[in-house]
Amino acid sequence: MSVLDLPRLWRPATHQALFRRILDAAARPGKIAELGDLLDGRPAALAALATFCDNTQTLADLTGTLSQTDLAFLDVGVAPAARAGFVLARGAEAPGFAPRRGTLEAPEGGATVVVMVDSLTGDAALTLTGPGIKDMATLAPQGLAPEWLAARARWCADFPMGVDLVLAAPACLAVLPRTTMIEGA
Amino acid sequence: MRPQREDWAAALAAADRGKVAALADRIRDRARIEALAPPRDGLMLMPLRESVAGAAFHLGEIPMARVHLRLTAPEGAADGGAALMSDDLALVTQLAILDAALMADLPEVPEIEALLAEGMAARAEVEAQRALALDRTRVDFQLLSEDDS
Repeated sequence: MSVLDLPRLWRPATHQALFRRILDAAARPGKIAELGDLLDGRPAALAALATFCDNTQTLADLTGTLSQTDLAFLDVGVAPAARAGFVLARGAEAPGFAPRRGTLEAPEGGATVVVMVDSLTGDAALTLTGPGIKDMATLAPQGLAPEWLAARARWCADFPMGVDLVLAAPACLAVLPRTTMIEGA
Repeated sequence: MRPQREDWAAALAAADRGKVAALADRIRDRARIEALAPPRDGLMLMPLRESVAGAAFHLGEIPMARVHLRLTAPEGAADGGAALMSDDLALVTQLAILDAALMADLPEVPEIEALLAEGMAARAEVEAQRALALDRTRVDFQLLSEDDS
C-alpha cells in the first residue's frame, strides 16, 4: 500500500506548476495567470497561499474561509493582520487593518495581501505602469472596493517599504507588486 | 482488553506487519480515506529534560513519521492518526487507518483488537528481555566504613 493520495492542490507537482505561473504573473504586473486546470475547484487565493506559505511564514485569514484542514496543509503560523507575512482578505470589504510594510533595512518584511475578488475583468479598467510592464497594462477587477486602492497607495508610499497585492478571482489571479503604479482608481 | 488509544500505534507496529498491511488495505479498499494534514516523515529533534537540574536539552535527531486522516465507511466515519519513531510512512498510514477504523467501530474491530493483543504481547516480551538485561548490569556498591579499616 502506498501512502495517502493527496488532493491535487497539495501535490508537489501542482505547487511547481503554480509557482511558475504565479512567478510569471508577478514579473508582469497586470498579466492574468489562469490556474483553473490545477485547482480541482479550490479557490485561486488558496492556491496562491499554498505556493507562498510554509512553516516559516505567518498568515492572517480575515475571510474565515480557510478550514482547519487547509491550515494544516498550509503548515503556516497564524498571526494578527498587523504582524502576519501574508493576509487573506475579501476585496468587497474595505481593508480595516494596517499590514506590515517592512523597514528600510529589510523591505522584504512587507506583507503580501491576497485579496479575493469576483473577477479580474469586466469592471472599470485600472492602468498599470512600472517595472515588468512594457508601456502600460490594464486590469479591471470586479468586487474590489475602491478603498483598497487608496489603502495600497498609502501602504506603498515610502518605497522600498510597502505591500504586494495578489488579486485572486475564483480560478485566476494577478499580482500588483509595490513597484507598480496604478491610475484610474 | 483494548489498550489506551495512545498505545494503539506502538502495539500495532509490534504486531505481524503482513497482517496489519492486509487488514488496512482491506479497509482502505471499501472506505474513503482523506488526509487531514500532509503526511510527514523525516528527522526531528528529541527534546528531553535532564534529571539533576531539570534543564531541557535535545538528545539528538530521531526518525519520525505521522499521518492524520479521516475514514468514511458505510458503517461510520472517524478521524484517525498515528505518529511513530520510524521513517516508514506506508506503515504509519496503515496504523492511522486502523486507528480510525477502531474509532469508527467498523466490523473489522475484532481483527484489529486481535492484532493489538498480539502487538502488546510482543512488546511485553521485549520489555521483559530489556528488564532482564538491565538487571544484570546492576551493581551493589559498598562503602568502606571506618570499622572496616
